Amino acid sequence: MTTVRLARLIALAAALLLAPRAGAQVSRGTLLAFVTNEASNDVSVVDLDARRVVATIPLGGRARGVQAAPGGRTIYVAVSDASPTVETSVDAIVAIDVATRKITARIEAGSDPEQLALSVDGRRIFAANEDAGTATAIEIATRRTISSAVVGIEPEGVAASPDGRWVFVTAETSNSVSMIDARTAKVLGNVLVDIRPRAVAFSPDSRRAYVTAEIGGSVTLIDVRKRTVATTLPLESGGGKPVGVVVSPDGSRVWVANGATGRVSVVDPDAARVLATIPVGRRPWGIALSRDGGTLVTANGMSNDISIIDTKAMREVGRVTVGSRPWGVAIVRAGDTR
Amino acid sequence: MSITAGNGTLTHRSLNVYGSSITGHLPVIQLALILAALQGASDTLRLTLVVDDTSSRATLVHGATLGAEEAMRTGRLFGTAATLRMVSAHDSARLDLLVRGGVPRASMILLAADSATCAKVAAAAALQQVAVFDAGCPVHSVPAAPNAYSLVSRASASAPSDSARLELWHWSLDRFGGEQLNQRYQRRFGERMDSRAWSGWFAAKMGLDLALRAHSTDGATMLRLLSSGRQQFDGQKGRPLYFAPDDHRLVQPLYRVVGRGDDERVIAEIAP
Repeated sequence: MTTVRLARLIALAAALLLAPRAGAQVSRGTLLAFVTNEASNDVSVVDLDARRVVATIPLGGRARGVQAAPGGRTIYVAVSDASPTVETSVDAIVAIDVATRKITARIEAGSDPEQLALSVDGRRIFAANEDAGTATAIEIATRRTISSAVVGIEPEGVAASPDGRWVFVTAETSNSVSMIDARTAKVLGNVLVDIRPRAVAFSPDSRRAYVTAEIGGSVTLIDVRKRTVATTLPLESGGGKPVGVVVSPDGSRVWVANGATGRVSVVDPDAARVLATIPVGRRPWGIALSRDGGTLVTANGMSNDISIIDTKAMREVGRVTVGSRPWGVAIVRAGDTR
Repeated sequence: MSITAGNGTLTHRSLNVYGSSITGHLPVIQLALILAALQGASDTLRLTLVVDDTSSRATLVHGATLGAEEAMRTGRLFGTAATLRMVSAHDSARLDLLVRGGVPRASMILLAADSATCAKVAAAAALQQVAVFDAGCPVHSVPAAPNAYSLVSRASASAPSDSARLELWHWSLDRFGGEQLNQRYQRRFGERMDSRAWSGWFAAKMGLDLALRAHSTDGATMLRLLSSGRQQFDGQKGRPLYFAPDDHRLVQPLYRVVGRGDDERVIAEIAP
């Protein structure tokens, strides 16, 4: 057994032994937010109905990207160490069981995993490896890396299209979005977008992708079929430093978290215009939408809280203090068995 | 990847040797050094760096080398190759070739040399309609011209008012990809990234970005896009960087630094 493998086993054992620091029960159907905290190295589980933290799950590393599995029963979190260029036992994708709030698996995902996406069938994880300049596909059942594609420099955002056809990966230094065939893992095209692209999200019909550009201060609409930029829309007069982006279930709204201005932009993608802006906490980066599209949550990194937004009223309706420097957020419904 | 240097071709491994010992062997770069990955590329960005033979230029060369290597990686995504050609100010034959617009003509020129060389190359670049970027020429040696730009900002061109000094970059910066850039540079050259290194890296990165957005590696076409004033660039500083329309200096955050060596630290970011 290699030293690295032994270290990984020790890390897994330690994580499994670490019980959540709080364990309040929630009733079936409760809307839960799993919030990654990159400074306190843990996940806060927030009851969005009661607006309180019901559990804190220590992860032992810098917690950033977070996604719910399609069934809503498992949460996957990208955890990394302090160095972006060194792969250690801390670097992993961690699986958390929603019901028990316990870590059930620790999956190797290369050095410095930051964001991740799940395939539509929930069988594979796609992760961006910032230092290596690659996007890795991992089979969850076997925990095997099944493919690795070369993308741009400093890859960051990852999204899988709802139709299962594509995986898009942004690269911050290259200002690129790589279009990867989800089945063959081949890069079929690259699109040049605004400067320092961060996150990417697909429309429900998979025909469009929306890419935020942190330094460009914009959101770019990509025509997936044509593999070209349809339009680039400035947000917050170009000074918002947008990061997180989500799309409503019907595709009629795109929600963007502007880290610098502390506001969420509500975009009508068909008209390519901003309908409204909603004040939230300080430095919102991560953003997530409930499955029914009614509740939006932002992870506010500098105010150490989350903002809960009623999407119909288009206003913040609650704020909950979480861990230190919240980064990402995923929403599930307790007991969801879809 | 192969690197042509004068009469010979060096291997990639040789470049590493060259890179780590460039300070002591600067005459080596009197010959042209070309980094290229031309296979499968439909177009080639030709970055040219003109330097004199002082050891203080070493980190500029390193930064430009890293920038060119990264430009090659990004360019490969879009079918564009990138080359970096270094010309010594003391290599009169190659300098004359550059000034005459010899083939292949540069897409853009980065200048850090003595007054006479800077003035001569800048004037020739103006005739050729190729953008020239001052990365360390003596003050006023690059005359104001539509094609002349400076990577040195207004504030850094003047002396700081206290014991602190102003820098374009610092090895301790860690936000907006600064940590990743610093680590890539440290890993590549075994030294900390300083302001000159950042300038070289940024020039190459900017050059490729400009070429991709201009859909051309032709110097005049790239210059037209740059002259439009619409282009902004990312330099891992957390703000969009651009060239001021009046004096063509790069508008960018600066860093007030105190201490020396391991005790150096950034005490303030100076917004542009």
